[in-house]
Amino acid sequence: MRTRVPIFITAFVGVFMILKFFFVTPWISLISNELEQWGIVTLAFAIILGVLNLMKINLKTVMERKRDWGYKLLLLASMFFMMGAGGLQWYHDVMAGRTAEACEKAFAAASAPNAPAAAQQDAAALKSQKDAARLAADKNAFSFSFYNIYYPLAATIYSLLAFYVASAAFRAFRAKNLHATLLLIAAIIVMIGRVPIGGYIWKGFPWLQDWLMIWPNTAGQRAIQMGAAIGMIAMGLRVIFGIERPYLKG
Amino acid sequence: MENLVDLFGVWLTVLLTLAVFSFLYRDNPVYKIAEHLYIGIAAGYTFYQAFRTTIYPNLVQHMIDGAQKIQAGDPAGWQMQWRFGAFVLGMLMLSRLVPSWSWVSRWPMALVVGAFAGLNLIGYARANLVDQISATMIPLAGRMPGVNGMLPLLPQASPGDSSIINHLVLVVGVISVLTYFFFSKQQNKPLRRIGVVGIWFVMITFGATYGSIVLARVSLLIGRVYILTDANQPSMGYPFVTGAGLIIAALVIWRIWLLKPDDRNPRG
Repeated sequence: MRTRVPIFITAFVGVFMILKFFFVTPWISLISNELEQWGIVTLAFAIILGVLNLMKINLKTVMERKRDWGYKLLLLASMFFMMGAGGLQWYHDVMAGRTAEACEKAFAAASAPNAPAAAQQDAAALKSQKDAARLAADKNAFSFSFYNIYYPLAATIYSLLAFYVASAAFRAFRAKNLHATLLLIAAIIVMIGRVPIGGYIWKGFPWLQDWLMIWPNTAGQRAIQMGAAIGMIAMGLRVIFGIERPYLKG
Repeated sequence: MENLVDLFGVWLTVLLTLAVFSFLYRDNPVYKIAEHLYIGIAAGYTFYQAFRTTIYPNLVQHMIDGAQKIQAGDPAGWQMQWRFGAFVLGMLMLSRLVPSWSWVSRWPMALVVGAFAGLNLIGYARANLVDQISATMIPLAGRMPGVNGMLPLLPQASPGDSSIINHLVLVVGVISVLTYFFFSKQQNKPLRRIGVVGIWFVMITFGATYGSIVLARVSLLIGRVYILTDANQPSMGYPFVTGAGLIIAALVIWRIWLLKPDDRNPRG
């Protein structure tokens, strides 16, 4: 039960996913598409599992007043706040959709020949309701948190890497031998060729940068991609045939 | 009221941006607040997205639609109820939270691994192998479809245009890099020489990729600096200058009075 069933499930599902490409029959497509959907839904549950695990670990720290428990409390509070705000956003979106639909119907009724005056009044009233519902869906706690907390934090954390990448460059870009020199020259051409000052120093830099990215860089990337694809295929077959069993760990 | 919310939003954006930049000094409470806030908000957002974009449409809505079809007398509705299996597997996945039952989560994991191994196997073979080989099968001389007349020898004014040199660079580059990564057979002298050319191409590729990454990060950094300077308006109360002053003051207080002596030199 603990080892054979998972191996059987992997082999069964993996084979159907491959068969789907080679046999275009309704029943194979039906089963493989359904299994694919099961995989997608199960992956979404894995995200839920991750969030629940984060909750479990941090709640334990807060309850036991361990080191940095205040930060963990902030983490939990912000997580619950965003979940609640998300639920509210969903509700607002549904309401906005329903009002828009009702408004469209009312306008269709009002624009019909010999429509009564009351129908036009209804349509006008529904239009203001529709605008209010749209505004509530566009501007609420969820969009505020997304644009003023989530986005700035994510962008700034990634931009912090600029400092570390630059400091790593000082160590990596040393012309110690031919290989390191090639790396250094390629990086310098790309960096100088992409900024306006590169064109002022020498007009050929932007052209050279483009050429380097289109031809030699493509050649290297392409060969690496091919190697990785062969590796992926070999690994996929090993997993499907049960030689590699990563899911049995842990 | 709306303006007040907008103003609060600008201040929050600036303060959080500066809080993350405070990490450049060292790990500190201001950064930790921003970091934990980010993890919490991101986890809540991911949870919401998983429910709204996957679990609800692909499971709940699908089964409700199926039930409605059954009520209407359409037998296709029964087929749609198969999706209940995904719900069972999803619940089995959550068994990982209970250590004595965590082995049950292997079943849904096995399904996910099998499904994506099968899908990737074909996807990679097609996109990263067959298509790439086909794109490398290009003429090295003579006429070429899309090129007016004969293939020129030297690269043209537009760097992407075809020429004999460009095509040679591409073909030689791909073959030599593949030769360099060919470990299934001991390499003799001619193969080693081709491999040497391959490593030159690999180094150029890594250099170009590294240069691109550096520029992408710097461009993100410039974007954040623009956000800070653009927001620094008198009508908003100079959030950048005031926020920077507040964060520096908080760091000074923390460094002088609150930082324990043991934590002052974390590197020993």
